[in-house]
Amino acid sequence: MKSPFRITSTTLDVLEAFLVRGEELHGFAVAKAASKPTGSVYPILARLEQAGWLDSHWENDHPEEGRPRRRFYVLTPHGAEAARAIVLERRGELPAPQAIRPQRPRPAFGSLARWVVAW
Amino acid sequence: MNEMLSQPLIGLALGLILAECTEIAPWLARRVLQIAARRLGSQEAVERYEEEWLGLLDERPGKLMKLFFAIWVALRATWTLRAIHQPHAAEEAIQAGDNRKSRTTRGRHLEITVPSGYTLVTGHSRWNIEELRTEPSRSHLLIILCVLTPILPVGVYALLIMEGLVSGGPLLDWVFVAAAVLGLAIFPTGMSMFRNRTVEVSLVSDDGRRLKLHHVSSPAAHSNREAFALMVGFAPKVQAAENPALSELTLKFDIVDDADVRTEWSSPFGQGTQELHHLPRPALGAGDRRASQRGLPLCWHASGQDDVRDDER
Repeated sequence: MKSPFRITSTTLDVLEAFLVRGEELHGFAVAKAASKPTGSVYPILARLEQAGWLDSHWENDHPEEGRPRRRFYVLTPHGAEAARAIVLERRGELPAPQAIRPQRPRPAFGSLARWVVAW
Repeated sequence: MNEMLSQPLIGLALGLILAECTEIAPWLARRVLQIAARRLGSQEAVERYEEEWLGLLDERPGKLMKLFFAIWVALRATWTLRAIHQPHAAEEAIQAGDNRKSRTTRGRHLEITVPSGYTLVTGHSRWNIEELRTEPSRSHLLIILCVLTPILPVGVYALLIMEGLVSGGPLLDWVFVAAAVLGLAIFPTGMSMFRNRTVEVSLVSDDGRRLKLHHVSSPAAHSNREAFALMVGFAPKVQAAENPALSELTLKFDIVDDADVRTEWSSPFGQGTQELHHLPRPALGAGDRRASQRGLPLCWHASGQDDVRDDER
């Protein structure tokens, strides 16, 4: 499939992150889901948005006191279709959508704690 | 000063410096993000990304992590976002009537002011692209200066060590290593400079008039190989007709007249003679005449894509 921009490995990771999560994500969540640095993700988000694959908006609800509002990104119908086609073409399979699980509180230095327990 | 006294003092000083750097890191991170956002050009993009990035900054744990995050965003994201949002910046400047601004941009859409003494004539002119010349930006020169600054004392230090005039201690060795690592940064800086450089295009018309266009995006912007070739080359000057890579570049000039009459000029490099067409200038009001005396704005954008190669519209 022909795309209006260069499809890199990071672009595919970002597209997969949106397909997996199936919901609107803010920049930090996209970076986390794609396991890429935030600075690398923003140019890709901008390219996708410029191509009409992504739509973005500021969060509607009033954020917590003192917290700046976030900007959320979501795949447009055309973008979702194109993303599926690109990911299927380049990676051979589509990622399975994941159910959103609430994050459990984790102890700080979790790996260290696990290492101590294993020891 | 004996060693018993100097060692704790150095440790104390380093500790104080480190603590101070850690304390100012969040403030510095905010400043870095604000500066990075303001370099995007378009006012809309500036406001949007400044708020968005500062929001993300608050979610980052740690003080130094905030600074690393900000620097990475500034280095990695700003260039691409500038290229995307620069067309809007040029349009905003035109809408605001800011004709005097001569923007240095590396995006697809640039703006200059026609030099004094040059007037656009109605009808038809023929122009040749005479020469391209690199023009390092001030920011690149500043980066190179910052990188080169520590190299000189390191070289002097290495020379003194080799000559046996001074004996190196562990601290000096670490300073030497740090400066050498910084010195190595000149290579990616050079690459960045030539990847993101702009060129000065010299045009000459059939009747002998010359026009220089500054800050035109370089064709090396998308080619590491060409950027490297230009970096290691001695003469930062290329003849348009002799460089096959330049034939792939298409410049499209939007000449914005006082009454917003636009004419576009696509100019494939490396093919010799170009043609410039534009519409007759409409009658000007008093305010427009003053604007005209300051010079007409010229806008263009550069692209290597075939879909903009439309010579006349």
